[in-house]
Amino acid sequence: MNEQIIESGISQAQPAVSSLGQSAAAMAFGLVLLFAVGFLPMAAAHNAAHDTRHTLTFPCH
Amino acid sequence: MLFRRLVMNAVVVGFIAGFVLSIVQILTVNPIIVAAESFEQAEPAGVVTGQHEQTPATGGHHHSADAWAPKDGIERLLSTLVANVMAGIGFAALVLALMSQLQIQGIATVSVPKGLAWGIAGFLAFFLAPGIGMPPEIPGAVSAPIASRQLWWVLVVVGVSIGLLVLAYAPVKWKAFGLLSIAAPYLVSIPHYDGPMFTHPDPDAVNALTGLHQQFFMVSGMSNFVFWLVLGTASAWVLNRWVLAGLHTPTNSTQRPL
Repeated sequence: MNEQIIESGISQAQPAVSSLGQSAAAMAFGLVLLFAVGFLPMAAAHNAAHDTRHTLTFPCH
Repeated sequence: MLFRRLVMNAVVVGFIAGFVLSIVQILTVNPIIVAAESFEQAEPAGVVTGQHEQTPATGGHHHSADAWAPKDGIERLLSTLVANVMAGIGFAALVLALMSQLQIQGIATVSVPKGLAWGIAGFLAFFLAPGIGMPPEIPGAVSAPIASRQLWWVLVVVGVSIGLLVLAYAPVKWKAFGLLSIAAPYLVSIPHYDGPMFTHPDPDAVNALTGLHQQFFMVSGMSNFVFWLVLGTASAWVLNRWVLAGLHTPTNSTQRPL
């Protein structure tokens, strides 16, 4: 079943999670990634993202 | 489903912006980082650079020997590329989530030219705003403890982001709050280290590092500017092309609730 059929099937119904909730979840996803790149204190994570942290002004060291 | 569309499009935008950033960064920023590190490595053991406050006895070099680190060369470049793409996806997820809500709630329509303005705002909030208080640092620079700098970074980025959004989209009566939100992080104390920024024993090295440090602000600023312009415009483009396409927002139809 493709997405179009599913979507048209629920076209009159409220989805389980509001669009606001879904956007908030997407923001949380983004924040987790940014935390991993910019803030994760683990040494290996720091070393891997070292040059990125310096470039994007995340406090490093 | 909106969440899935936001995440998938954030991945697309993050790849594009992360690639562009990597090219600019590898050509302009990385040579400065490597040059600064050459002084750091030449430092005699026992000189504390303040990078690892908890282990000053190890000589201050921040790359602990037992932890994994990418080897210089292709491995280090690839690891930077991966980190840049991840950061791009993260920023794009935030931007797309905000843009989609503004459009769904009928507050604003985000066209591609407006995406450019979002890019400039992202540059202001995530680079310039923290950079004014704590100039971007090259390896080897001594500064305030990491925890306080990270806390202030979050404070200023959140404050300025909210402030800019309020100034751009909130009703007039809220604008003063927007200005306050931008100013507040600067009114609380900015982490500051009293003392020389570079502790290298050779004055020539300190001069060289100081020069690199000044160059670094310009070069990293330019990289961030390009990164954010690409991220902002690409986000606005995918927003209308893919994220909200077929979903009925107040700007195209009110037929279908989201």
